[in-house]
Amino acid sequence: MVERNNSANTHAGVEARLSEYLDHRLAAHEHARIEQHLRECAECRASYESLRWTIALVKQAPAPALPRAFTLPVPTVAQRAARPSLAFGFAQFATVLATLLLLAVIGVDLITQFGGGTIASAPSVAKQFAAPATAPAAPTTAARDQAAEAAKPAQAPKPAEPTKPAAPTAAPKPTMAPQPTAVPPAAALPAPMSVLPTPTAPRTVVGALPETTETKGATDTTTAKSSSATPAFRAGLAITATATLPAPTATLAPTSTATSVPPTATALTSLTIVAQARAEATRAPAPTQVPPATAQPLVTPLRVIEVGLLILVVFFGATVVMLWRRK
Amino acid sequence: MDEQTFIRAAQKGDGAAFNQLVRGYQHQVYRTAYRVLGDAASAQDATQDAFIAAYKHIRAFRGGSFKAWLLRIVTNACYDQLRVKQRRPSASLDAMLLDPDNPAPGLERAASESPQDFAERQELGATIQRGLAILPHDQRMTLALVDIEGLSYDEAADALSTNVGTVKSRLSRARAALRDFLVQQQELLPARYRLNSEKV
Ligand SMILES: [Zn+2]
Repeated sequence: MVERNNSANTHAGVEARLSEYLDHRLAAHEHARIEQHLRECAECRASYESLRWTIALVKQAPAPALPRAFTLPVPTVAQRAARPSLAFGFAQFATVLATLLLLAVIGVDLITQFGGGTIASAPSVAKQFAAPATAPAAPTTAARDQAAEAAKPAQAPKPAEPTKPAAPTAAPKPTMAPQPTAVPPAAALPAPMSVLPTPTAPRTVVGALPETTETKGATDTTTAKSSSATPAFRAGLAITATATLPAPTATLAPTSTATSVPPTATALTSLTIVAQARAEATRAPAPTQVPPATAQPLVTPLRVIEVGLLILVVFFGATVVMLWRRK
Repeated sequence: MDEQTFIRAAQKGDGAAFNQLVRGYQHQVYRTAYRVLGDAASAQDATQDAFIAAYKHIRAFRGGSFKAWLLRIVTNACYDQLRVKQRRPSASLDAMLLDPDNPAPGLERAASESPQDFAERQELGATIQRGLAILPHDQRMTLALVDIEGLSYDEAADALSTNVGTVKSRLSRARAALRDFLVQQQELLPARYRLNSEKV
């Protein structure tokens, strides 16, 4: 053949290109040369025919029937996309909420422990957690409660900001002199915490509480304290806290506080009141009003709340991580 | 709904949409695995592994040919199965050397096909399967993808994570090797499939 020297036209060169030639993958001029060679060379033509035959046979081989469906037992879009994102959002929110609450309670605990040791702070702070229990459940009821409490002015220097003592930074403050200026009305911390389902019980308790304190506070301090501690504890467990409601702190503080606070204290925060109470207590301790026996059980609820909140933080945090990973 | 819609939905976590894609491709994926692996059990394992891997990594799919993407996954699953088979060579040999008198169950019979024709085609299939078994893995995969599944060179290169040049050379060698094998085994083929019985 004339073009033997051209590698595309030697038998080996043609043989190497037959596969591509069959698939029409060669450039036009190369395709034409192979075509030309195949016309002239029986050997290469036989090779070409056998290749074509091979490919045709391969295509005719029976396909295996599908032995089974390979669909996966995966969740549908409603299960996977919609539900988890809701759950994810809730878990995120709950984690933040529980963490903030935990910090708040720890702050309160620190105040109680190092802030002078007066039990006054314990019930008052616990009450701060209890009081807002009304808020998330029914804002209108909360407003009514608020109004009702405001309508009881005799006892209560209460329009105080409940959140302040919750902040850990507030811890050293009670040891200082009761300075009204030292207590900013910051409502920064647990303000948005009003989501978890609130049992209705604490609400009624809160509503009832000021009255009981009013009546009992005059007669017997111990009963007032114990009665206030239990609902506070219960409400604390319900993890409901808002800064929006004025806590009836002063009402719940030992009678020594309530009585010792001057009427001008209405403007003060509960923290100040607590601090004042401590100052009063240290300055002129009234043994009949603060029995040490009741002091111990009043601190315990805080610990229980802390542990409970820690568990919640861990639980919701783990849920968030789990859902995030699945995403 | 078209494929792109299902892909996007699956990427957002819609399992039902992903299963629509599975239904669209499971036959092809299984067929490829069967051709490459030579037995139904391994092919099922590879197919299932491939779809699970595809579901896990569907967000990594960035467009292009979904078929090629899927076949790349099944190709890798086949390599895994082949490694398992190499550790158990006897099982592999049994599976590869199909008995023509007792062809593998579960082959598809065409609707218009007579039982006689189907039986003959099963013999052809068994012979081809034995021919594929002697090819190196890379060549076998390339030939299965291009000549059986009908992928273009580009798609095959994509599926095999290689370039078109490699696909061309592997395919050329695979076809030539299979051709040599079939020519040798011609006597075992039904008459109508023999080379000189003219125009198969
Ligand atoms: Zn030639």
